[in-house]
Amino acid sequence: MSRTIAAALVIASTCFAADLSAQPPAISFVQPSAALPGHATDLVVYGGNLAGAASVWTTLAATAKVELTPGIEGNGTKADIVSYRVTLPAEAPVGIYAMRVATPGGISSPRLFMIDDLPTAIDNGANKTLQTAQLLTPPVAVDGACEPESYDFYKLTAAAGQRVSVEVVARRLGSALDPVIRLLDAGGRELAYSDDEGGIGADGRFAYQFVAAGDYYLEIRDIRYQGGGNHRYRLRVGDFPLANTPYPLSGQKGTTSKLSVAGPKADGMPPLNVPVPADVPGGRLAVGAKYPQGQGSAALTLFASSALEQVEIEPNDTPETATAISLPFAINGRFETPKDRDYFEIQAKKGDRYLISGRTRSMGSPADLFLRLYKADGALLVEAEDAGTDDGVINYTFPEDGVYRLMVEDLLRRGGPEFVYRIEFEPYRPGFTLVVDADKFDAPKGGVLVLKVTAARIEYNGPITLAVVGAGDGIQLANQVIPEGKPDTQLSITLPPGFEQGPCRTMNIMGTAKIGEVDFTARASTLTPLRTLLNGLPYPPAGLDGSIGLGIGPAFADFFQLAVEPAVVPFVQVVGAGAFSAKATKLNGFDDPISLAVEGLPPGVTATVAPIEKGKAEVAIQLAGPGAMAEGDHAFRVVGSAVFQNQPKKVVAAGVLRVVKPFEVTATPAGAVNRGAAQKIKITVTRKPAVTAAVSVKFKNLPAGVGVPAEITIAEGQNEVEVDVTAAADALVGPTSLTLVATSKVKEKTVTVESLPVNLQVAMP
Amino acid sequence: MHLSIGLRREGAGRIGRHIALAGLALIAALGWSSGTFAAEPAAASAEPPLEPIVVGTPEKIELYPANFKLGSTRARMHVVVSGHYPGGGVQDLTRAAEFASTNEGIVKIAGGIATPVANGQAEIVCRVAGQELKVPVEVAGQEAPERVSFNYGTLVALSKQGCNSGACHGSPSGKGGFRMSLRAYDPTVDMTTLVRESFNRRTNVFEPENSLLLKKPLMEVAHGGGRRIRKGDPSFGILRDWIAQGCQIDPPDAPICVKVEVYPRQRILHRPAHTQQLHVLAHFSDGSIRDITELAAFSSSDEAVATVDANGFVIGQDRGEAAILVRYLEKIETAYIMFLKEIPGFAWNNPPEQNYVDKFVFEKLRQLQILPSDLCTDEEFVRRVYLDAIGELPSVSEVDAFLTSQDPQKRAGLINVLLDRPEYADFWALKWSDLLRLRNNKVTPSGVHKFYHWVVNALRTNMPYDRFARELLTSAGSTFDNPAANFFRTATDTNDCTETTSQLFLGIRIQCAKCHNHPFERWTQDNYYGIGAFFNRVQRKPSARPEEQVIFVARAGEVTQPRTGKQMKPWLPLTGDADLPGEDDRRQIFVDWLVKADNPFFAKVEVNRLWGHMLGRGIVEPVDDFRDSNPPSSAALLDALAKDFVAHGFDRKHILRTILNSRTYQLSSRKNDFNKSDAKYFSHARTRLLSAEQLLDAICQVTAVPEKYAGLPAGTRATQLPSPDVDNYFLKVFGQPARETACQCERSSESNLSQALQMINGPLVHGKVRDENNRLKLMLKAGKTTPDVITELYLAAFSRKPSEPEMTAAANHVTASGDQVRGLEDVCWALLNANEFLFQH
Repeated sequence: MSRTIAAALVIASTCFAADLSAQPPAISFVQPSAALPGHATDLVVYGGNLAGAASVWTTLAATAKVELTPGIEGNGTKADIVSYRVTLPAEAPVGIYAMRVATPGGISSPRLFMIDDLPTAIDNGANKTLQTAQLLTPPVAVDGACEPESYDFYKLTAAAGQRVSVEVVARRLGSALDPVIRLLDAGGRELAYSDDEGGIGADGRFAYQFVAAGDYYLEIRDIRYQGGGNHRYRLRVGDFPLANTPYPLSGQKGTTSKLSVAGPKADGMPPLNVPVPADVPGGRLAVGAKYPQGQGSAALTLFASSALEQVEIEPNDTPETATAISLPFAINGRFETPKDRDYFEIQAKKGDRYLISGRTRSMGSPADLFLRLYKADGALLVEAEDAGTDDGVINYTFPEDGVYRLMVEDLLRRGGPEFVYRIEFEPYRPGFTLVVDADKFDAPKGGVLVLKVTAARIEYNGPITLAVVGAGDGIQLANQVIPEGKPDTQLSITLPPGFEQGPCRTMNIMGTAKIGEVDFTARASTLTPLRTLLNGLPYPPAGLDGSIGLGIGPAFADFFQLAVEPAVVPFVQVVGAGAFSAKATKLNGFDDPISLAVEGLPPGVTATVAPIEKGKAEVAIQLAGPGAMAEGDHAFRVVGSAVFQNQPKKVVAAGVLRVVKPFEVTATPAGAVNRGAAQKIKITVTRKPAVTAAVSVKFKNLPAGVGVPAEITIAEGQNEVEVDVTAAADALVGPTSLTLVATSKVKEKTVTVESLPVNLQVAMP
Repeated sequence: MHLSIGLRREGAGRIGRHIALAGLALIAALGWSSGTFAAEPAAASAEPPLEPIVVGTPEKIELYPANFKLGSTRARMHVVVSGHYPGGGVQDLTRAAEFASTNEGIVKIAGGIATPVANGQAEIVCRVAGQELKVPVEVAGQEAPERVSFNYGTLVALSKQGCNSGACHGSPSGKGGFRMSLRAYDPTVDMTTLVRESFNRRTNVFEPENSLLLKKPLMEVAHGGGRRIRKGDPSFGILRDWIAQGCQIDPPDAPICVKVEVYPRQRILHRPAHTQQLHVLAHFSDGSIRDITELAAFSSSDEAVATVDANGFVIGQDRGEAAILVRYLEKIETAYIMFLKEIPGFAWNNPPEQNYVDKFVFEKLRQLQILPSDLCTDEEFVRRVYLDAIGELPSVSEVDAFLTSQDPQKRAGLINVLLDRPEYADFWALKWSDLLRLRNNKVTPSGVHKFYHWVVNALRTNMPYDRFARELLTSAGSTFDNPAANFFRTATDTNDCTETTSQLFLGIRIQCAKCHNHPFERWTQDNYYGIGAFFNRVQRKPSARPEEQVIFVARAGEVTQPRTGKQMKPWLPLTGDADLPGEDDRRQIFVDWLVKADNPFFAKVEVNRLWGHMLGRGIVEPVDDFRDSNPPSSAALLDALAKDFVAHGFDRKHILRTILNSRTYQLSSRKNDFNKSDAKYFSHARTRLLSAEQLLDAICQVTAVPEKYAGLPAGTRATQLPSPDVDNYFLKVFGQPARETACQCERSSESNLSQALQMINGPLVHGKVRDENNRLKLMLKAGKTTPDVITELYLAAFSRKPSEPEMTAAANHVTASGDQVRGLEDVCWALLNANEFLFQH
C-alpha cells in the first residue's frame, strides 16, 4: 500500500529549499536492507540527488509508519544519504517490499527492501579470505556486497547436530548479484553448495545439519565473479524453513485461509491461518512462515483471489478419477511426486470459450505447467505449455455440450511438496493489455510529460481510451486515445500548476473500451521497465507493477526569446503592405523550429507567417492590408511556440505597426538666399518600398519675391534633385517658409503629398 | 652468454638468431638437448619385398572351405590352405600349394580359385609340403546364365574399383558430371544415374563394351580417374554382363546380403610366416553363400605392420597387430592378424607385475618381443604423477618429502593423496569441459560457470561414470537450475545430440552417416537417425531470465530419414530397433542400454580415455574413435580395464589408481634396443609436450609468479579456467581448444614456431623470469646463495636436484655473467626452455 508522508513534506519544503537539486533522486541501496517487525528500524538510503528526500512511498501495509529518522543532524539535506525510520507492527509479514523517495527534483525509481525477522549484521569488508572470515552468530542476516573477482567469507561455530538454514536474497532484492553460496569445513572442503533453484530464481539456499562441532565457513560470490556496489546481498542464516509457497496457492478475499507451507525444507511446519483482506493491492499478500521455535521466517506470497477457490482431490491421476469441477472456477493443486498428473472434469456447453490459465513460477512454485484438454473419449483437443514468463494458457472454445477433462502435469514431470499450482478458468473476453515504457516520470512543475502506452490487442481492434488514475485532480490529457487498429499512443499529460515539488506521487494508466456491450478495463503494466531496473528480476514484488512514479521538478526554464525587428513596422498607405523580421534567441541547447503567429493586427491586415526553422534564428514576415488606412500606430504581437524536452513554451514579442504615406518629400536649402541672387535647394523624396515612379514636385505658397522652377521632376528611380531658388531684390529679408507638393503614381493611383514647411532665409547681399 | 640473454630481454617479443643460438647454447651447457620440441617418433615404416614362403614341415594342412557349392554360372570359390606347425604356429600356404580338379568337366581350379563348368560333383585336390587334402565340390545352376544383381554385383564392382568413393564420383558434386551415391548407399539414385542420365550413353545394352561405364575406366575414352579396370578383372565381367542383360534393377524379392564372413578371423603369424590370403563369404537371405573375395574391398589399420592388396592378400611388414577391414557394401568385417618375429638377442626379463595392467601389457610385449623399459626414478615419477593426476608440478617441498621418504609404498600413497586433492577435480574438469564445449557462446557466460561447477563437483565427488552420463543425457529443466541440461544447449539439435553422444559415450564418430552410410564403418544412415530418435523430442525454450534456457522433452515426435522418408524407430547399436510407444522420455531407455555392464562401448571408451590421458596414447587411438578399422593395441587390456570399471561401479578413480599403480605407467621414458621403435604397446613412458594449461601453470609454479586471468580471482590457475574465453594468447598458441566440437582432437598437441617464440622470448616467460618478486629474487632477498637458488629451481622445474656438471655449468654462468641476478634469470629461463621441463616424461 502506498503511503505518503505529508507531514515530513512540510519540513522538506521549508528547510531545504536552498539545497534543492533539479535532478530527480536515485536510490543505490538501502542499509540495512530489512526492517524488523515489532521494532523501529532506521533504513539508510544511499544514492544521489537525495537532498530534500522527505517524502517516501512504500508498498508496506498502512500499519507501517515511515518517517525521516529524527535526531540525525542534517538528515534529509544531503545529496547522498537519507535515513528513514520504519516502525512495524510485530505481525508485519516477512517479505520483499519497495520504496521510492521524492525530492523537489523529482521521484526515484523503486528500490527493494525486506521485512525480516532476523537481526541484521553488516559485512565488515575485510572478509575476503577464509582466514579473515567474519564471524556470524545465527540467527542473523548480513547485508553485504560482492566485489569483482572476489569472495566474501563468514565463519560459523556450530554444535554437533545443529541445523542451519542458509539463504541468499539478492536477485529477489533487485541486485545485480547472481550469488553462489558454499558451506566449507575448516579445511576448505565443500559441504553444501547452492546456486540457482527453481522457484527462487538466481538466489541460493540450503539447509545443513552439522555432524561435528567446529568452525565452518560460508563463502559467497557472484557466479561470474562480478561485483560492485550493485552486487548486494542479504545472507540469512538461522533455523527457518526453506519454503517456496503456501498451499493452496491462493486464498479468497475476505476469508481466512488455512495454508500449509510448501518447500524443499519445510517439514514440521504447522498449518498457517491467514486472514485475506477484502482489498489486497496488487492481488498478492505477503505471508511469513516460521517454525514454532524457529529463528526467522520464510517469505511466502499468497494470491488473493476474488474467485471461489477449490483444491484438487487426490487421487485424480487418471481420467477416471478426475476431480469434478464447475465452470468458472479456480483450482489449486500440486504434483505430489514425480510424474504426478492431475485430472479435472468439466461440464461445458457448446460455444463456451474459456481462458484456462496457470499460475506457478510467478508465485514461487518451481512447477512448469503443462496443460492438456481432452474430450471425454480421451481424444486430445488442445495443449499448452508455458513459454517465457507465462505460466501456461489455453484459450479454447468447446465444440459441443459435454464432459471434458483437463490434465495438468509438470512439463519436466517433476514433483514434490513445492510443486504447487493454481489454474483459473474464466470466460474468455476480447480485450487488450497495456504497457508503459518506464516505471516513473519526472515533469517540471506545471509541465507536461509524455509517455508511450502500447496495447497488445486480443481480438479487439477498436479505440482504447486512456485515463490517469491516482495522481490527483487537474491533470489534462492529450493523445489519450489509441486509435482503432493502432498499437500505441504518445499520451501527453499536462500537470496542473498546483502540483507542488516534493511529495511522492504515483499513478496508474487505465485503458477502457466498449467491446460489444461490455466495458473492458485494463491497467497498464510496467513490468518491462521494472525488470530492467531490477536486474532481470522476473516477478517484482506485489504492488509495483503498474504503479508509475510521478516526480515534480522545478518549472521548466525558458529556452528561447523572441523579438520583432524593427520594433516599429512601417505599413505603407495605398500599397497596403509592410514587413518585419521575427528574431529568436535560442537557449540551453534548444534548436528546434519555433512556430509563429502574429496577433493584434488592425482589421484587414494579415501576416504571412512561417516558422523559424531548426538552425535558423529569424524569419521574415510580410504584412498585407487595405491601402486606405489612416496614418497612425497599431500595437501587435508575435507569438512563438516550441516544444523542448516535451515541454511546450510560448513567447510573445511586441511590435508596432505604423501606417505611413507611400513617399515623403523634403527640401534643404544650401544656405540663405541673398536678395537678387540664387541659391541651391535640394529636394529629396523618401520612397517607401514599391514606390518607384517619377515624382513631380511643386512649391506652394511661395513668399513674395522668392522664385523657383515651375515644374520639377525627380526621375523614376531617383530620390533627389537640386534646383535654384531665387530672391528678388526686393524680397522681404528674413526667414520665410516653403511648402512642397509632390505628386506621383502609386499602384496607378495619383498620390500627392505635402512636405513639412521648409525654412528659407532671405538675406541682404 | 649474458650478452645474449640481455639481447633477448631487450628484444622481448622478437626472436633473433643470436638470441636463439645463445639461449640454446646455454640450455645445452646445462645438460639438456636443444629447445626443439621433439614429438614421440613414429614407428619406422618399411616395405620389405615379398619374401619367398618357407613351407617347412607342417604337422597338418587345412583347407578352407572344407567343402563348397558353386551354385551359379558366376560362382567362384577361393581355397585357402593353412599349415599347422609344431608348437602351435600357423602359416598360410595357399601360394605354395598346388591345386587340381578331379573332374575338370565339372569344376576347374587355377590360382587357388575354383570355377564351375557343369552341374555335378567333383573334388579339388590340394598338395603342399608333401601332404594332400581334398575338398568336395558341388556344381549346380549351370543350365542358365546367372542374372547380375544390380545391388550385389554392379554396385559392388563399382565400389571395388573406387568409382563411388568420396574422392571420385561419390563426392557430393561427383566428378566430370557423373555423380554416384557414396559407396553405393543409395541404389535408387545410382540406377537412375547409370541408366538414365547423359542421354543413356553410360550404358549401351546393344553394345555393352561401348558403354561409357566401361570405356572410361578402361581408358578407351579419356578418364580423369585414369585406368580403373582391366578386361580380365571380375568387375569388368560383372559390369559388362549387367549391361548386356538390360541394366536391370533387382526384383523386390531378390535375396539380400545378411552377413559377411572373413577367414581367418584372427591369426598370429611367426616370421618367416608373414602372408595371409583372406577369404570372404557373403551370406544371403535365401540361404545362399557366395565367395566375394574378389569383390570385397580391403584396407589395413596399420600399413606399417601389414598391407593388403585388392584380392585380400595380406603381407606383414613389421611386428605388431593389424586389423584388415573387409567391406562389402554396408557390411563390414574385420580380420585381426598379428605378426611376430624373433629379435636377435631378445630375452624376456620378467619384470614384476604390479597388477593386471602389467599382465596384459607385458604379455603383448613378450609376444612381440619388445622389452619394457626400466622403472622410472622417483624423481621422474613424482613429476609425472603430479602432472598426470592433478595437472601441476609438485612443489619443492612436496618433491623433497617424496624423495626423502623411506616408505616402500610411497608411490601408491602419493597416488591416493593426489586423487583426493581438489586439483584432481579441477584438472579433470578441464578435460571434460573441453568435451562438453563449455564456452560463452555455447552456454552463455553465466552458464559456463554453472556448468563448470557441475562438472567439477561430479569429479570432486567421484560421481560414478554411469551416473555422470545419465545426468547429462537425461537432463532437463533450466540450464541454470540444472546445469547438466547445458549438454542439450551445446548440442543444439537432434543431429548434434546424436553425434555428440556417440562420440563421447560410444567412441563412435558417426557424423558421416548423417548424409550417407558411413564410408569406412558399419554405421548406416538408418543407424544415425535411429539413434537420433532417442533425442529428437528434446526441446528448448527461453525462460524469464535472458541467458537461461529450459530443456524439456516433448510428448511426441518422430525422426524421418531424409533419404528414404521412412519414420525411424529408436535404434541401439548392436541391439537393433526399440519399440517405444508412449510419451516416456526415450533418453532413459538409451541410457539404460548405454550403462549396462555388457555394453561393448560405454565402459571401454571411458577407460580408454583415462588410459590415454595417463599414458599419452589410448589403447584405441584416437581415444574417441572406436571402429573396426582402428583396433585397440591390446584388446585384452581394454576388456580387462572395462570389466574392472564396471565391477567397481564405474569408479573412475579406481581405474586411475589401477593405471597409476601399474609398472607400465611407471616405466621410464628411456628406451632400450628392443623397444625403441614401439609407439603403441606402452613398453616405455611416452614423452609428450605439456598441455597448454599445464605448461602455463608450471611456468607460474617455477617462477612463483601467478598469472592473472580477466574476470577471475587472483590465484586462479590455468587448469581451473572454466572456459577459454579469458583469451590468453599463450594458451591458444599451445593448443588450448576453442571447444567448438566434442572431439578430443580439437586440443592440438602439435608443436609450432609460435610456441618456440613464446618460450624463448615471449613476454609471458620474460615477464615472469624478470619479475621482482619471483622465486629467485625472493630467495636472494632472503640471503640464499647461488647454489641454493639453482638447486631450488631444478627441484621446482624438474623435481630433481642438479647433477654436479649441471650445477657447475649453471654456477659458472652466473659467475661469468658478472651479475648474480641476471645470471640466475638466465638459468631460470634456460630451465624453462629445456625439454625436461616442457615435456611430460
